[in-house]
Amino acid sequence: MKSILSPKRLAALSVLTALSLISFLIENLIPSPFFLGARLGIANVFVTLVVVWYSLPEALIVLVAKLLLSAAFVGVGQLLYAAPAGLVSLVVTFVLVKTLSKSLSIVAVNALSAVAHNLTQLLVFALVTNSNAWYLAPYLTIVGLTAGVLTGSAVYFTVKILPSKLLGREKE
Amino acid sequence: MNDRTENVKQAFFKPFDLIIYLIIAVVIALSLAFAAPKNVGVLEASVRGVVVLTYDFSNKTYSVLDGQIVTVLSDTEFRISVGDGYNVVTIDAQNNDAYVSDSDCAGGECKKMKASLGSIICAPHGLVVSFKGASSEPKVG
Ligand SMILES: [Zn+2]
Repeated sequence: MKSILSPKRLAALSVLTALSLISFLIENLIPSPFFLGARLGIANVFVTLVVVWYSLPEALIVLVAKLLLSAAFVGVGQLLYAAPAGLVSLVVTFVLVKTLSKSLSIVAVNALSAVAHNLTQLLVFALVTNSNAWYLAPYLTIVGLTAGVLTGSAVYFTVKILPSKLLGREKE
Repeated sequence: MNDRTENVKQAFFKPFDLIIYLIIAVVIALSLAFAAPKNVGVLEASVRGVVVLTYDFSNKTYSVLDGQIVTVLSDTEFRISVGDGYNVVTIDAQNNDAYVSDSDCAGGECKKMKASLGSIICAPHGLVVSFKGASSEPKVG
């Protein structure tokens, strides 16, 4: 059993966290291509890569680090939405990749995960404001599907192209 | 062998993906069927779940429920203070509609919405403008 992160692996995780944070910050600067500030979620590409290449605990570390660092840049307020949505989509991704990755492509997994992400944000919003924001659910589901297919494709091609030994991921 | 990586590399599309897309299609269909708003004559503006202003389209009158938050700019324009920020809600009495004409929220997404489409929400400010009686909860889980 490997108990300690190898330096190479730690370095790879740090790079993935940094890429996740940077893509989040860049996306945050550009006006949302969708209604309601919904975004593509390129940051999620890197968290999903950690799920595929490494493990759930490591993906959680990358997600939490990215969330905390992003709060330092754009404020704590957005965590109310970003944290639950990020966790839910990570759990969906992990469960599907872990149990069904033989039968399902990462593109479909990511699509469902992105839909879960957007609907979680809507649920938090509805709970916080006690509002009838549910009419937005179809719209946010379609946006999640589109964004998830695009970012899932990015994950697919990255995994396909990058040799995993580059990332401190020895044969298991 | 573990190989999630190998599994992921296999294919861009796998037949069972269709089940995922079917699930998403069902979510869209159900939410379209159950989330559709009903417009009635009274508009409500609430901040973090507390109603601060109502507007009755049937007789074109308003009532301010929280004078510290709502400033009446005119018969159809209301400034709503939310923490450090504000939104100006403008009533379009002719078309039974309302919109946010001004806001200092990040992104300004609320300025793109109309009450007639369901409700106006300003996520950064926790402001919701919607017709009273429009469903406030999902009817189906
Ligand atoms: Zn706003």
